[in-house]
Amino acid sequence: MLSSERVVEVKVRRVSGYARGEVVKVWRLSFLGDVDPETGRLRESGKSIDGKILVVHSFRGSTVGTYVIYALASRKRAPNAIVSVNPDPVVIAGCILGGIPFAYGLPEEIYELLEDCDVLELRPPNTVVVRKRCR
Amino acid sequence: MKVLVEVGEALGAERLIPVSHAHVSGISIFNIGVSGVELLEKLVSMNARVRVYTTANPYSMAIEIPQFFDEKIVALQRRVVELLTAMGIDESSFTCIPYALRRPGYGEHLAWAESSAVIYANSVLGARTNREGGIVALLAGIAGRTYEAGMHLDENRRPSLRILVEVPATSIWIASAIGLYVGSVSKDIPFVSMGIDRDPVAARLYLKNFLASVATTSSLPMVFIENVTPERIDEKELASLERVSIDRKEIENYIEERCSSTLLLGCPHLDLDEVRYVLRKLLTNEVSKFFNHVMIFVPRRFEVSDDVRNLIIELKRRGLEVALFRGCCPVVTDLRNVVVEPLATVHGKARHYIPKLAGVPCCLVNAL
Repeated sequence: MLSSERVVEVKVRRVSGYARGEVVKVWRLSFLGDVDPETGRLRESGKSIDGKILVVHSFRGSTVGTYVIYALASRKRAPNAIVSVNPDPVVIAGCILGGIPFAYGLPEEIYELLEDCDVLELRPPNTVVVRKRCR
Repeated sequence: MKVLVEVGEALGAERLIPVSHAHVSGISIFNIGVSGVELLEKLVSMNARVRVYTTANPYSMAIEIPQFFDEKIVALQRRVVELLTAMGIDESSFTCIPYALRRPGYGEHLAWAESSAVIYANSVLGARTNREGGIVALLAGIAGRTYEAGMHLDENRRPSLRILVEVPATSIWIASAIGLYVGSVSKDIPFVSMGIDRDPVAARLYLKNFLASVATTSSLPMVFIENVTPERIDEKELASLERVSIDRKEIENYIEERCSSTLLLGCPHLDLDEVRYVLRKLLTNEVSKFFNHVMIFVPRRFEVSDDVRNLIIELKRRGLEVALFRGCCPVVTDLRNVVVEPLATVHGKARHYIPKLAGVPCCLVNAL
Protein backbone atom coordinates (compact mmCIF):
# COMPACT_ATOMS: atom_id res chain seq x y z
CA MET A 1 0.00 0.00 0.00
CA LEU A 2 1.39 3.39 -0.94
CA SER A 3 0.64 6.34 1.23
CA SER A 4 0.47 9.61 -0.60
CA GLU A 5 3.32 11.92 0.29
CA ARG A 6 2.20 15.00 2.22
CA VAL A 7 4.04 18.20 1.39
CA VAL A 8 3.95 21.25 3.63
CA GLU A 9 5.58 24.57 2.86
CA VAL A 10 6.59 26.48 5.97
CA LYS A 11 7.76 30.07 6.38
CA VAL A 12 10.65 30.52 8.82
CA ARG A 13 12.68 33.55 9.97
CA ARG A 14 15.79 32.78 7.98
CA VAL A 15 17.13 30.23 5.51
CA SER A 16 20.77 30.85 4.57
CA GLY A 17 21.16 28.44 1.65
CA TYR A 18 19.65 25.63 -0.40
CA ALA A 19 19.81 22.10 1.06
CA ARG A 20 17.85 18.87 1.09
CA GLY A 21 17.99 15.67 3.09
CA GLU A 22 16.47 13.31 5.60
CA VAL A 23 15.62 14.64 9.03
CA VAL A 24 17.51 13.77 12.21
CA LYS A 25 15.58 15.35 15.06
CA VAL A 26 17.03 16.30 18.46
CA TRP A 27 15.42 18.29 21.27
CA ARG A 28 18.42 20.04 22.87
CA LEU A 29 21.96 19.82 21.57
CA SER A 30 25.43 20.93 22.55
CA PHE A 31 27.89 20.35 19.73
CA LEU A 32 30.68 20.08 22.29
CA GLY A 33 30.07 16.74 23.95
CA ASP A 34 26.95 15.52 22.14
CA VAL A 35 28.49 15.15 18.67
CA ASP A 36 31.61 13.18 17.73
CA PRO A 37 33.45 15.42 15.24
CA GLU A 38 35.42 12.46 13.83
CA THR A 39 32.42 10.34 12.85
CA GLY A 40 29.55 12.82 12.66
CA ARG A 41 27.50 10.67 15.03
CA LEU A 42 25.36 11.75 17.96
CA ARG A 43 27.00 10.24 21.02
CA GLU A 44 23.78 9.35 22.83
CA SER A 45 21.70 7.76 20.07
CA GLY A 46 24.52 6.73 17.74
CA LYS A 47 22.64 8.31 14.82
CA SER A 48 24.72 9.86 12.06
CA ILE A 49 24.08 13.50 11.12
CA ASP A 50 26.44 13.27 8.12
CA GLY A 51 24.50 14.28 5.00
CA LYS A 52 21.25 14.75 6.95
CA ILE A 53 19.16 17.76 7.88
CA LEU A 54 19.77 18.19 11.60
CA VAL A 55 16.63 19.58 13.22
CA VAL A 56 17.10 20.89 16.77
CA HIS A 57 14.64 22.62 19.07
CA SER A 58 17.29 24.62 20.89
CA PHE A 59 20.99 24.64 21.59
CA ARG A 60 22.89 24.77 24.84
CA GLY A 61 26.48 24.69 25.96
CA SER A 62 29.87 26.08 25.28
CA THR A 63 31.00 28.51 22.59
CA VAL A 64 33.50 25.82 21.57
CA GLY A 65 30.56 24.39 19.60
CA THR A 66 31.57 26.69 16.74
CA TYR A 67 34.85 24.79 16.37
CA VAL A 68 33.14 21.40 16.47
CA ILE A 69 30.82 22.39 13.61
CA TYR A 70 33.80 23.65 11.63
CA ALA A 71 35.65 20.35 12.32
CA LEU A 72 32.65 18.31 11.09
CA ALA A 73 32.65 20.31 7.86
CA SER A 74 36.40 20.01 7.29
CA ARG A 75 36.18 16.22 7.80
CA LYS A 76 33.18 16.01 5.42
CA ARG A 77 31.00 14.67 8.21
CA ALA A 78 28.69 17.67 8.48
CA PRO A 79 24.91 17.64 8.10
CA ASN A 80 23.54 19.09 4.84
CA ALA A 81 21.88 21.80 6.95
CA ILE A 82 21.09 22.71 10.54
CA VAL A 83 17.51 23.81 11.25
CA SER A 84 16.31 25.07 14.61
CA VAL A 85 13.38 26.65 16.38
CA ASN A 86 15.64 29.10 18.26
CA PRO A 87 18.73 30.65 16.69
CA ASP A 88 22.07 30.34 18.44
CA PRO A 89 25.12 32.54 17.73
CA VAL A 90 27.57 29.68 18.38
CA VAL A 91 25.87 27.47 15.79
CA ILE A 92 25.42 30.23 13.22
CA ALA A 93 29.12 31.11 13.44
CA GLY A 94 30.08 27.45 12.97
CA CYS A 95 27.74 27.04 9.99
CA ILE A 96 29.11 30.06 8.16
CA LEU A 97 32.74 29.11 8.81
CA GLY A 98 32.04 25.52 7.76
CA GLY A 99 29.89 26.46 4.75
CA ILE A 100 26.80 24.67 6.09
CA PRO A 101 23.33 26.08 5.25
CA PHE A 102 21.17 26.87 8.26
CA ALA A 103 17.62 27.89 9.04
CA TYR A 104 15.97 29.14 12.21
CA GLY A 105 12.58 30.25 13.39
CA LEU A 106 10.97 26.89 12.61
CA PRO A 107 7.46 26.99 14.14
CA GLU A 108 7.07 24.84 17.27
CA GLU A 109 4.15 22.90 15.77
CA ILE A 110 6.22 21.95 12.73
CA TYR A 111 9.05 20.81 14.97
CA GLU A 112 6.55 18.59 16.83
CA LEU A 113 5.29 17.13 13.55
CA LEU A 114 8.70 16.16 12.14
CA GLU A 115 10.02 12.61 12.31
CA ASP A 116 13.36 11.10 11.38
CA CYS A 117 12.25 9.65 8.03
CA ASP A 118 10.79 12.92 6.71
CA VAL A 119 12.61 14.86 4.03
CA LEU A 120 13.29 18.56 4.43
CA GLU A 121 14.23 21.06 1.77
CA LEU A 122 15.60 24.53 2.54
CA ARG A 123 14.81 27.33 0.09
CA PRO A 124 16.30 30.75 0.82
CA PRO A 125 15.43 33.29 2.06
CA ASN A 126 12.73 31.84 4.33
CA THR A 127 11.00 28.70 3.12
CA VAL A 128 11.30 25.17 4.41
CA VAL A 129 9.49 22.37 2.57
CA VAL A 130 8.52 19.33 4.62
CA ARG A 131 7.82 16.03 2.85
CA LYS A 132 6.13 13.67 5.26
CA ARG A 133 7.48 10.23 4.51
CA CYS A 134 6.68 8.59 7.81
CA ARG A 135 3.45 6.71 8.33
CA MET B 1 32.17 39.80 8.53
CA LYS B 2 29.45 37.47 7.29
CA VAL B 3 29.47 35.69 10.64
CA LEU B 4 28.97 38.98 12.48
CA VAL B 5 26.14 40.05 10.18
CA GLU B 6 24.34 36.69 10.49
CA VAL B 7 24.83 36.44 14.26
CA GLY B 8 23.65 40.02 14.61
CA GLU B 9 20.60 39.37 12.48
CA ALA B 10 19.68 36.32 14.56
CA LEU B 11 19.87 38.50 17.68
CA GLY B 12 17.77 41.27 16.14
CA ALA B 13 20.56 43.74 15.35
CA GLU B 14 20.04 46.22 12.55
CA ARG B 15 23.64 47.11 11.90
CA LEU B 16 27.28 46.59 12.80
CA ILE B 17 29.07 49.18 14.93
CA PRO B 18 32.81 49.89 15.33
CA VAL B 19 34.55 48.49 18.42
CA SER B 20 37.75 49.80 19.99
CA HIS B 21 38.96 46.58 21.60
CA ALA B 22 38.23 42.89 21.09
CA HIS B 23 39.04 40.22 23.66
CA VAL B 24 39.18 36.60 22.55
CA SER B 25 38.43 33.53 24.69
CA GLY B 26 38.68 29.84 23.86
CA ILE B 27 42.47 29.71 23.91
CA SER B 28 43.07 26.56 25.92
CA ILE B 29 43.89 23.47 23.91
CA PHE B 30 41.86 21.47 26.44
CA ASN B 31 38.77 23.43 25.35
CA ILE B 32 39.14 23.97 21.63
CA GLY B 33 40.97 20.77 20.74
CA VAL B 34 42.43 20.01 17.34
CA SER B 35 39.30 21.43 15.62
CA GLY B 36 39.97 24.83 17.14
CA VAL B 37 43.59 24.83 16.00
CA GLU B 38 42.45 23.87 12.48
CA LEU B 39 40.10 26.83 12.32
CA LEU B 40 42.78 29.25 13.54
CA GLU B 41 45.20 27.78 10.95
CA LYS B 42 42.62 28.44 8.25
CA LEU B 43 42.17 32.07 9.34
CA VAL B 44 45.94 32.64 9.34
CA SER B 45 46.28 30.99 5.92
CA MET B 46 43.68 33.49 4.66
CA ASN B 47 45.92 36.31 5.98
CA ALA B 48 43.39 37.36 8.60
CA ARG B 49 44.65 40.16 10.85
CA VAL B 50 42.95 42.11 13.60
CA ARG B 51 42.07 45.71 12.74
CA VAL B 52 41.55 46.93 16.28
CA TYR B 53 43.43 46.35 19.52
CA THR B 54 42.79 42.71 20.43
CA THR B 55 43.75 40.76 23.51
CA ALA B 56 43.39 37.07 24.39
CA ASN B 57 42.45 35.03 27.43
CA PRO B 58 45.03 32.95 29.29
CA TYR B 59 46.07 29.64 27.77
CA SER B 60 46.32 26.33 29.63
CA MET B 61 49.25 25.57 31.95
CA ALA B 62 50.78 23.28 29.29
CA ILE B 63 53.11 26.09 28.18
CA GLU B 64 54.17 27.20 31.67
CA ILE B 65 54.87 23.69 33.04
CA PRO B 66 55.24 21.48 29.93
CA GLN B 67 56.86 18.63 31.87
CA PHE B 68 53.44 17.65 33.22
CA PHE B 69 51.74 17.31 29.83
CA ASP B 70 51.80 15.23 26.69
CA GLU B 71 54.19 16.67 24.08
CA LYS B 72 51.41 16.90 21.49
CA ILE B 73 49.25 18.98 23.84
CA VAL B 74 52.16 21.33 24.58
CA ALA B 75 52.96 21.73 20.87
CA LEU B 76 49.31 22.42 19.97
CA GLN B 77 48.96 24.93 22.81
CA ARG B 78 52.11 26.76 21.63
CA ARG B 79 50.72 26.74 18.08
CA VAL B 80 47.50 28.42 19.26
CA VAL B 81 49.55 31.27 20.76
CA GLU B 82 51.64 31.56 17.57
CA LEU B 83 48.53 31.68 15.39
CA LEU B 84 46.85 34.33 17.53
CA THR B 85 49.93 36.54 17.64
CA ALA B 86 50.34 36.06 13.87
CA MET B 87 46.89 37.62 13.55
CA GLY B 88 48.06 40.64 15.54
CA ILE B 89 46.79 39.86 19.03
CA ASP B 90 48.76 41.67 21.76
CA GLU B 91 51.57 39.23 22.65
CA SER B 92 51.72 40.44 26.20
CA SER B 93 48.03 39.84 26.86
CA PHE B 94 46.95 36.24 27.57
CA THR B 95 45.02 37.31 30.60
CA CYS B 96 41.39 37.33 31.72
CA ILE B 97 41.75 40.96 32.90
CA PRO B 98 42.18 42.81 29.58
CA TYR B 99 41.15 46.05 31.31
CA ALA B 100 44.52 45.95 33.13
CA LEU B 101 46.33 46.31 29.78
CA ARG B 102 44.00 48.85 28.23
CA ARG B 103 41.29 50.40 30.35
CA PRO B 104 38.22 51.11 28.18
CA GLY B 105 36.53 54.45 28.63
CA TYR B 106 32.93 55.18 29.54
CA GLY B 107 30.47 54.35 26.75
CA GLU B 108 33.12 52.65 24.59
CA HIS B 109 31.88 49.74 22.45
CA LEU B 110 33.84 46.51 22.86
CA ALA B 111 33.62 42.94 21.59
CA TRP B 112 34.76 40.89 24.54
CA ALA B 113 34.43 37.23 25.29
CA GLU B 114 35.32 36.03 28.84
CA SER B 115 32.33 36.47 31.12
CA SER B 116 34.25 37.92 34.10
CA ALA B 117 35.82 40.66 31.96
CA VAL B 118 32.52 41.45 30.20
CA ILE B 119 30.65 41.95 33.47
CA TYR B 120 33.50 44.14 34.82
CA ALA B 121 33.57 46.32 31.70
CA ASN B 122 29.79 46.90 31.73
CA SER B 123 29.35 47.27 35.50
CA VAL B 124 32.47 49.12 36.68
CA LEU B 125 33.87 50.89 33.62
CA GLY B 126 30.58 51.79 31.92
CA ALA B 127 31.88 50.36 28.64
CA ARG B 128 29.51 48.33 26.44
CA THR B 129 29.96 44.72 25.44
CA ASN B 130 27.93 41.57 25.03
CA ARG B 131 29.25 38.20 26.13
CA GLU B 132 30.63 37.33 22.73
CA GLY B 133 31.51 33.77 21.75
CA GLY B 134 35.29 33.24 21.73
CA ILE B 135 35.64 32.97 17.96
CA VAL B 136 33.05 35.70 17.31
CA ALA B 137 35.19 38.08 19.39
CA LEU B 138 38.18 37.20 17.21
CA LEU B 139 36.18 37.83 14.04
CA ALA B 140 34.99 41.13 15.53
CA GLY B 141 38.65 42.07 16.09
CA ILE B 142 39.39 41.19 12.45
CA ALA B 143 36.37 43.17 11.19
CA GLY B 144 36.85 45.96 13.75
CA ARG B 145 33.10 45.78 14.35
CA THR B 146 30.36 43.87 16.05
CA TYR B 147 26.59 43.65 15.82
CA GLU B 148 24.54 46.27 17.61
CA ALA B 149 22.32 44.36 20.01
CA GLY B 150 22.01 43.56 23.72
CA MET B 151 24.35 45.54 25.94
CA HIS B 152 25.26 48.05 23.22
CA LEU B 153 21.76 49.53 23.51
CA ASP B 154 20.56 51.77 26.36
CA GLU B 155 17.23 50.00 26.75
CA ASN B 156 18.92 46.71 27.67
CA ARG B 157 21.12 48.26 30.36
CA ARG B 158 18.42 48.67 33.03
CA PRO B 159 18.08 46.85 36.35
CA SER B 160 14.99 44.80 37.07
CA LEU B 161 15.50 43.82 40.71
CA ARG B 162 17.00 45.56 43.75
CA ILE B 163 19.28 43.59 46.05
CA LEU B 164 20.42 44.87 49.43
CA VAL B 165 23.46 42.99 50.70
CA GLU B 166 23.55 43.22 54.50
CA VAL B 167 27.10 41.86 54.69
CA PRO B 168 29.91 44.25 53.73
CA ALA B 169 32.42 42.93 51.19
CA THR B 170 35.53 42.96 53.40
CA SER B 171 37.48 40.09 51.89
CA ILE B 172 37.89 38.26 48.59
CA TRP B 173 36.00 35.19 49.73
CA ILE B 174 33.04 37.21 51.09
CA ALA B 175 32.85 39.20 47.84
CA SER B 176 32.93 35.88 45.97
CA ALA B 177 30.23 34.30 48.12
CA ILE B 178 27.99 37.37 47.71
CA GLY B 179 28.52 37.15 43.94
CA LEU B 180 27.74 33.44 43.74
CA TYR B 181 24.51 34.10 45.64
CA VAL B 182 23.50 37.20 43.66
CA GLY B 183 24.09 35.32 40.40
CA SER B 184 21.95 32.43 41.56
CA VAL B 185 18.94 34.64 42.43
CA SER B 186 19.06 37.16 39.53
CA LYS B 187 17.41 36.36 36.23
CA ASP B 188 17.99 39.85 34.85
CA ILE B 189 20.32 42.72 35.67
CA PRO B 190 20.04 43.56 39.41
CA PHE B 191 20.75 46.84 41.22
CA VAL B 192 22.98 45.90 44.14
CA SER B 193 23.66 47.98 47.26
CA MET B 194 26.57 46.74 49.32
CA GLY B 195 29.41 48.03 51.46
CA ILE B 196 32.85 47.80 49.85
CA ASP B 197 36.27 48.39 51.42
CA ARG B 198 37.58 51.96 50.95
CA ASP B 199 41.13 50.97 50.05
CA PRO B 200 41.21 51.34 46.25
CA VAL B 201 43.18 48.14 45.58
CA ALA B 202 40.99 46.13 47.96
CA ALA B 203 37.85 47.63 46.44
CA ARG B 204 38.94 46.66 42.91
CA LEU B 205 39.84 43.17 44.04
CA TYR B 206 36.52 42.66 45.80
CA LEU B 207 34.51 44.06 42.89
CA LYS B 208 36.34 41.84 40.41
CA ASN B 209 35.65 38.77 42.50
CA PHE B 210 32.08 39.70 43.24
CA LEU B 211 31.37 40.19 39.54
CA ALA B 212 33.32 37.14 38.32
CA SER B 213 31.27 35.08 40.78
CA VAL B 214 27.98 36.58 39.57
CA ALA B 215 29.00 35.63 36.03
CA THR B 216 29.74 32.10 37.26
CA THR B 217 26.27 31.32 38.58
CA SER B 218 24.39 33.36 35.94
CA SER B 219 24.82 34.53 32.38
CA LEU B 220 24.43 38.18 33.42
CA PRO B 221 26.60 40.62 31.45
CA MET B 222 26.07 43.45 33.95
CA VAL B 223 25.20 44.38 37.53
CA PHE B 224 24.32 47.91 38.63
CA ILE B 225 26.38 48.49 41.77
CA GLU B 226 25.42 51.49 43.86
CA ASN B 227 28.16 54.17 43.90
CA VAL B 228 30.28 52.11 41.47
CA THR B 229 28.47 51.74 38.15
CA PRO B 230 28.93 55.06 36.35
CA GLU B 231 25.63 55.04 34.48
CA ARG B 232 22.84 57.16 35.85
CA ILE B 233 19.62 55.59 36.90
CA ASP B 234 16.27 57.21 37.41
CA GLU B 235 15.28 57.37 41.11
CA LYS B 236 11.65 56.61 40.30
CA GLU B 237 12.62 53.57 38.28
CA LEU B 238 14.80 52.38 41.14
CA ALA B 239 12.03 52.88 43.71
CA SER B 240 9.66 50.78 41.64
CA LEU B 241 11.88 47.68 41.66
CA GLU B 242 11.14 44.61 43.73
CA ARG B 243 13.51 44.33 46.71
CA VAL B 244 15.44 41.39 48.07
CA SER B 245 17.87 41.27 51.03
CA ILE B 246 20.85 39.01 51.49
CA ASP B 247 21.98 38.33 55.05
CA ARG B 248 25.09 36.84 56.62
CA LYS B 249 23.66 33.34 56.89
CA GLU B 250 23.16 33.04 53.13
CA ILE B 251 26.76 34.10 52.55
CA GLU B 252 28.25 31.84 55.21
CA ASN B 253 26.64 28.83 53.55
CA TYR B 254 29.35 29.08 50.90
CA ILE B 255 32.32 28.60 53.29
CA GLU B 256 33.76 25.14 53.21
CA GLU B 257 36.22 23.26 55.38
CA ARG B 258 39.81 23.69 54.30
CA CYS B 259 40.47 20.81 51.90
CA SER B 260 44.10 21.47 51.02
CA SER B 261 47.41 22.98 52.09
CA THR B 262 47.70 24.62 48.65
CA LEU B 263 45.96 27.96 48.12
CA LEU B 264 45.09 29.04 44.59
CA LEU B 265 44.93 32.79 43.90
CA GLY B 266 44.32 34.77 40.72
CA CYS B 267 40.98 33.78 39.23
CA PRO B 268 40.47 36.33 37.72
CA HIS B 269 44.19 37.15 37.32
CA LEU B 270 45.81 39.52 39.83
CA ASP B 271 47.76 42.61 38.76
CA LEU B 272 50.92 43.73 40.57
CA ASP B 273 49.09 45.91 43.13
CA GLU B 274 46.71 43.07 43.90
CA VAL B 275 49.55 40.55 44.27
CA ARG B 276 51.23 42.93 46.74
CA TYR B 277 47.94 43.28 48.59
CA VAL B 278 47.34 39.54 48.99
CA LEU B 279 50.96 38.81 49.92
CA ARG B 280 50.84 41.45 52.67
CA LYS B 281 47.60 39.98 53.91
CA LEU B 282 49.15 36.51 53.93
CA LEU B 283 52.00 37.85 56.08
CA THR B 284 49.62 39.21 58.68
CA ASN B 285 46.78 36.75 58.38
CA GLU B 286 46.59 33.92 60.92
CA VAL B 287 44.97 31.62 58.42
CA SER B 288 48.06 31.52 56.18
CA LYS B 289 49.63 29.16 58.73
CA PHE B 290 47.37 26.43 57.39
CA PHE B 291 48.89 26.61 53.91
CA ASN B 292 52.36 25.72 52.69
CA HIS B 293 51.95 26.52 48.98
CA VAL B 294 50.34 29.48 47.20
CA MET B 295 49.83 29.41 43.42
CA ILE B 296 49.20 32.90 41.99
CA PHE B 297 47.98 33.40 38.41
CA VAL B 298 48.91 36.66 36.68
CA PRO B 299 48.96 38.12 33.13
CA ARG B 300 51.68 37.04 30.69
CA ARG B 301 53.41 40.41 31.04
CA PHE B 302 54.09 40.68 34.73
CA GLU B 303 57.24 42.18 36.22
CA VAL B 304 57.85 41.44 39.86
CA SER B 305 58.85 44.59 41.76
CA ASP B 306 61.54 44.53 44.46
CA ASP B 307 59.08 44.92 47.30
CA VAL B 308 56.93 42.05 46.01
CA ARG B 309 60.05 39.88 45.64
CA ASN B 310 60.93 40.65 49.27
CA LEU B 311 57.43 39.72 50.38
CA ILE B 312 57.78 36.37 48.59
CA ILE B 313 61.15 35.74 50.27
CA GLU B 314 59.74 36.65 53.68
CA LEU B 315 56.77 34.29 53.21
CA LYS B 316 59.11 31.48 52.19
CA ARG B 317 61.15 32.04 55.33
CA ARG B 318 57.94 31.50 57.26
CA GLY B 319 57.20 28.26 55.44
CA LEU B 320 54.86 29.52 52.72
CA GLU B 321 56.12 28.85 49.19
CA VAL B 322 54.73 31.32 46.63
CA ALA B 323 54.78 30.45 42.91
CA LEU B 324 53.69 32.85 40.14
CA PHE B 325 52.18 31.48 36.90
CA ARG B 326 52.10 33.88 33.95
CA GLY B 327 49.61 33.98 31.08
CA CYS B 328 47.86 30.77 32.00
CA CYS B 329 44.74 29.61 33.80
CA PRO B 330 44.22 26.54 36.01
CA VAL B 331 40.48 26.37 35.25
CA VAL B 332 41.09 25.59 31.56
CA THR B 333 43.82 23.02 32.27
CA ASP B 334 43.44 19.31 32.91
CA LEU B 335 45.01 19.37 36.39
CA ARG B 336 44.60 15.68 37.16
CA ASN B 337 48.26 14.94 36.44
CA VAL B 338 49.55 18.19 37.89
CA VAL B 339 48.28 18.51 41.44
CA VAL B 340 48.20 15.62 43.85
CA GLU B 341 45.82 17.16 46.36
CA PRO B 342 42.65 19.26 46.12
CA LEU B 343 42.96 23.03 45.82
CA ALA B 344 41.74 25.64 48.28
CA THR B 345 40.74 29.04 46.95
CA VAL B 346 39.03 32.30 47.88
CA HIS B 347 37.65 32.85 44.36
CA GLY B 348 34.04 31.91 43.58
CA LYS B 349 34.78 31.35 39.91
CA ALA B 350 37.66 28.94 40.56
CA ARG B 351 35.63 27.11 43.21
CA HIS B 352 32.85 26.51 40.72
CA TYR B 353 34.83 25.56 37.60
CA ILE B 354 37.92 23.72 38.86
CA PRO B 355 36.10 20.50 39.82
CA LYS B 356 34.04 20.63 36.60
CA LEU B 357 36.68 21.61 34.06
CA ALA B 358 40.08 20.94 35.61
CA GLY B 359 39.04 17.67 37.21
CA VAL B 360 40.29 18.17 40.78
CA PRO B 361 38.33 18.92 43.98
CA CYS B 362 38.30 22.52 45.20
CA CYS B 363 37.00 24.31 48.29
CA LEU B 364 36.14 27.94 49.08
CA VAL B 365 37.88 28.98 52.29
CA ASN B 366 37.66 32.12 54.41
CA ALA B 367 41.34 32.93 54.10
CA LEU B 368 41.70 36.38 52.52
